[in-house]
Amino acid sequence: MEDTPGQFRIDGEAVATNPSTTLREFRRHHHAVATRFERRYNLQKQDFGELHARAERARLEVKKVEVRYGADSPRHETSLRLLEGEMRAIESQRRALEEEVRLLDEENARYELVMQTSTGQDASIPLADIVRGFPANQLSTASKLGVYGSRWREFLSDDPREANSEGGVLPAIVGTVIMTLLMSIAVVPFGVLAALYLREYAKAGLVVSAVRIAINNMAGVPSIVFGVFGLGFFCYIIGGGLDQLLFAEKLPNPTYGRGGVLWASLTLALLTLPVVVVSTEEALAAVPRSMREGSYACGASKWQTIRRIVLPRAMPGIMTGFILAMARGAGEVAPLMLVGAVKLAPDLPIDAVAPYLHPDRSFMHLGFHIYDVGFQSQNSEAGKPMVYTTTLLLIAIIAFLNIAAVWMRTRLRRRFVGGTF
Amino acid sequence: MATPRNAERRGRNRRTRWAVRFADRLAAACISVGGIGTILAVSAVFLFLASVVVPLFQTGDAAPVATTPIDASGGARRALHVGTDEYRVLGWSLDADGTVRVFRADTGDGVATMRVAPSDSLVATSFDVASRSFALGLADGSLVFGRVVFRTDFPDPASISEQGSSLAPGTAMVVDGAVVEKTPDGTLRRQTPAAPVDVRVPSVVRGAVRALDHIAINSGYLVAALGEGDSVAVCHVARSENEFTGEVSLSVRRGVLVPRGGAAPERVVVAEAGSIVYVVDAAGRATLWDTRDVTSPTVAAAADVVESGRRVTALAPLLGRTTILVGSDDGAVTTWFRYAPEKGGDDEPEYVSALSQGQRFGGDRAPVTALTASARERVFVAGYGDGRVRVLQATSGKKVVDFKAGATPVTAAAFAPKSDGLVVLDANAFRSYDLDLKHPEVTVRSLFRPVWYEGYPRAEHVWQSSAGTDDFEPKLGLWPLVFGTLKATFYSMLFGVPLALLAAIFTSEFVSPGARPRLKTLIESMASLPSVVLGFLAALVIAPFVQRAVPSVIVGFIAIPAVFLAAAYAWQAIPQTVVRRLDRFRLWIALALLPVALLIARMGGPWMERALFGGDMMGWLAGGAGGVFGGWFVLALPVSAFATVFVMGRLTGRAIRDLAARSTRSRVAGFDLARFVAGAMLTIVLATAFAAVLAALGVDPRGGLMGTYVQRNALVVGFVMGFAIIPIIYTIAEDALSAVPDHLRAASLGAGATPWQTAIRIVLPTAMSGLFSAIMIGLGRAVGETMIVLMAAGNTPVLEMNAFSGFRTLSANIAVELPEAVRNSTHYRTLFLAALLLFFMTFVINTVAEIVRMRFRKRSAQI
Repeated sequence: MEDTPGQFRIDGEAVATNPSTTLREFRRHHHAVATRFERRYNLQKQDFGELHARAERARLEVKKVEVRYGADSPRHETSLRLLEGEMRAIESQRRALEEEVRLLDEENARYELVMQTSTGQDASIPLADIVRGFPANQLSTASKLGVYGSRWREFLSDDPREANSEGGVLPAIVGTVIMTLLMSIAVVPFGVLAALYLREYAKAGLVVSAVRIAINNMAGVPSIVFGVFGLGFFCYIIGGGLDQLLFAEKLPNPTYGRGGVLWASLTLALLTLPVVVVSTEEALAAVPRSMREGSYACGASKWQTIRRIVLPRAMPGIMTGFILAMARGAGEVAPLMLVGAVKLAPDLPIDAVAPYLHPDRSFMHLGFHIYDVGFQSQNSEAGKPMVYTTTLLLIAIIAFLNIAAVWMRTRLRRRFVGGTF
Repeated sequence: MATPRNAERRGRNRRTRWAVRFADRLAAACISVGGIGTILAVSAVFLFLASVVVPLFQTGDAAPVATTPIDASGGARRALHVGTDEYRVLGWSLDADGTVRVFRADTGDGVATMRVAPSDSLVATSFDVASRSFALGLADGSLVFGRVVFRTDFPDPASISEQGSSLAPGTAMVVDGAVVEKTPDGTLRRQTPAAPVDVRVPSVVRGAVRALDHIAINSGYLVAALGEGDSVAVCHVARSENEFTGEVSLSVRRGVLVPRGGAAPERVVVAEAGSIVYVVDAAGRATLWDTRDVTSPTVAAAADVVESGRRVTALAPLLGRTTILVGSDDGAVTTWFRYAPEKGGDDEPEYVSALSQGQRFGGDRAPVTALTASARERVFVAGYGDGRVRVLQATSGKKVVDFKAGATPVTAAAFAPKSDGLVVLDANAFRSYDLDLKHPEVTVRSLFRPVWYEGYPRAEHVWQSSAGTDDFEPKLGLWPLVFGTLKATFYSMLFGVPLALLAAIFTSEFVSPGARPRLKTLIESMASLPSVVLGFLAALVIAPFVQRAVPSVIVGFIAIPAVFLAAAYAWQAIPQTVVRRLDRFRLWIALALLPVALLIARMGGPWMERALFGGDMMGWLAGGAGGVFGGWFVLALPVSAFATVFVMGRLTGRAIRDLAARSTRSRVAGFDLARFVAGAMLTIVLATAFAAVLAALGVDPRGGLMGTYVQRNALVVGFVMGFAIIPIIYTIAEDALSAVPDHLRAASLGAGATPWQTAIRIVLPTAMSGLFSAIMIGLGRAVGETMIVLMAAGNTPVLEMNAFSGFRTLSANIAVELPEAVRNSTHYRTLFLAALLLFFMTFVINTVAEIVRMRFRKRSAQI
């Protein structure tokens, strides 16, 4: 460090020339510069995005009027005038934002760091381009841990940078979570209904055993087949139909007629249905017969028995199925490649803009992120640390879900043992 | 409070409250509907996939739009070529009297008649579908080139007559030699036909032109014309226009093809952008001339293109002019193209070629009278002498459309420019049809059998769905993908099944009951490891490692089982007193053997590489130096090991049992150990002998089970996917083994059998069907696994048994290509077929497994 020439420049003037003063200057200014840089990033991403969305909405409003009342109608003309006013307002806001961004850029451009590369050339780096800097050889254990922690924080809470090979995976975490939750909401009621039907209502016979074979078979059908089904049926047929009915003004740009988080979760719901059905059935079967008979003897109807006696007893088992389904869903990647997981999603499927949840948006997914960074990116060597860390995160999430399921199952067993009398 | 009184009252209300009954009924209805609905939804997956796939195998449709009788006045109206404009409003015909007649396709009303050649002088014509240009051969041996064009504009309604502006949408009218049509969206579209003559070339051949064919090439034409005296002239006509004066000057380069013997030439076709000319003679022999240098053509190949005794009645090029279509007088149409035959040396001239027949479409005796190719697809229309019209696909051999147009011979037929319509002309009428080709390039045969693609040296299985160029023909052979799937499955079963079954036997028979659930949970939790993680490990960690140490890995596969077996035999030979003290640590000792085996593999690898593969295994695999002995030896080793086990068991099993009855434990163990060593020796000797014999015969294992090493290969995929299927096989197998009732074990142990004997002779056979179903379910998993193969198999759709090369499976192919496939295109539907195939494969496997398992349950309940 001592013999590494380094310069810190403000407005092109070197304010520090030896390493230690450079480092001091760096520490003094870097935080402010980074804050400004972040402010600028947010302005560009959120405020500009919002303006863009507003303009798009205004245009669509006009298009809607045109589709409904025709291009020559007076309504259309009024709406055109409205659009013009709105556009002017948007334009002036955009200018203001641009001015702000320009000021921030100007301020940041003042700071510059000059370092020597390993080949002996001087390279000047704008301070705003530096994410973090530290004298690696002079760190104490605590500050090493600090750097390590800050890297983790960045990984868990930032957007990806440099073609996904740097930065964080927050969008992928959010996408995975939203997709998995939507999937669970879809799969659990239907899975429980099917299991209740099979176990409590259907009369045992050829049909029921055929259905059971079918359900077990479903568990063995390759996940990619569900992806193909999801793409053809959900995205193109249902989504295409929805677009024609509700979003005619946006056509030919599809809204629901392409991969999105809703279709991805429905596809995975179909995929994980057997898991829920099988484990719910097991849980229902584990409720001792004597309890049902007791309930009937007290005069309860079938539904009352199921609702008050059977379902509460079977609840841990159903929860186990639910968690196992979540674990399977969170780790499944192949079908998602067809129905909505993307390399880089500009917007999260959930945000602060009404209606908050956007089921039509495509999303990022941790598993797909691993595949994409490790295999599809231009520079997969640079992305390797990212791949490893994301893998660790994914395994951790799934291990957590599985341990929860195992814990549930042991609790169920204990209850079951206690329940016989 | 109310209850006691109720109990006393005699007529107490025994009726259930309506709300309860209602809730009960409602719940029953909801659950039944929801349950059945859910189950139906599941089967809907299959039905939906099938519904997308079905159109793939349907034939096309041709619906008649209009039949306009042609005025039989004057025999001059004999059409040689017909066609339509892009919107199929107008039809045109090039007639034998030297005129181009344009008429409304729906009513037959004449729109324009344009003279392109003096009447009674036109003797031969050709029409190039791609450039829509015609060439006319005249009686004096000269040629005329021109084009049929339709100028399209969108006139102002006011500028044309009042009738024009009051046209109903979808109707048309003739105005001043043009047709004006109101399109369904309300705009007026005017099409003005023209047939401008471009170039006239005097006296190309001696006497009248008997046959000709031409193509348009940059600013000119290349034409082959057959004149009197059996000579064929090949001309390159370049047309240059002076920019200032507008004067057109022609430069003609001319050569003559002189047939050597044989029958008189009858027809010609210019092929492959003009570098080849086909000349077909009266005896049905086609000669292929290399005309890259127009002035001195040479013969490149020749072949009989019809059966002997038959005559060629129609000849036309297919799209791209690489394949020619030959129609004969018995109604057969055959496709022919040039290919470079496979040969030894690399430095032979590239035009040494042969003619090969691609497809043969049999007819029904009536001669082929018209042949025209589509300008967009690799389909062509054939008209027959009995009025039948067929649309055929040249590569797949699919009969796309087959109908009878009229009773008289078809004189000309053509596709609309967008291949969405068909026009057919016979002696009586001009008929126009709506054409829906659907998916002409796919048949069951073309998907699963080798197809002889244009320019290939032989029929092959090829999957190649897209390429950079426009005239590329997609090759949709599913077999390489099915093969890849089977290959992945095979190698992963090879690794997974023994490990999973042994682990299941171990946990159910040899582990203390307390540790069993923990062990089981551990292996089961492996199942939830996402396959994307395994794929990532396989491709980025294991594959590079294996590539660095191929010989060591191979030695490892031999050394690990060998070390464990040797240790097991040695364990027997240790005195009882020691064993009893060590017994608690048995598992740990066994685990400690693993590093030993790995160390042996590490050391043995380079040694084996030197001894068997001349010190460079990669080079040897790639076909480099070194004998074939080493490869065969490695391959023969497992086979001879199994053979030895079988033979030794037969020969010495009895002896050792006798010995065991008579002798002490330690002596038997010693004998057993000696037997193992002898077996190992015998294995090596057998493998050596086997390899020596095959090496002496000169058979090379490379190209079969071995071959060039690729980093992402079947071995790596098999290894990792083996791990992916272990948990599922293990779980089901362990369940089956645990389900064997304990009284069987107790009886066996009580009769004096050892735990091992009990496990192998009693438990295993009883649980056999359960184990079988476990393996089947594992198989189903392996067939459909996507991410691991996608990441670690290299994804090249090749047909190689080679364990060191990559492959592409059905599932990976879907994942790679479906996002880019256009909805409802042939490619899209073929990928759905791939999915359906996967669905079907796993469905069959799982159903068999499930039925076997149910049987097993029933049987084990009876024991």
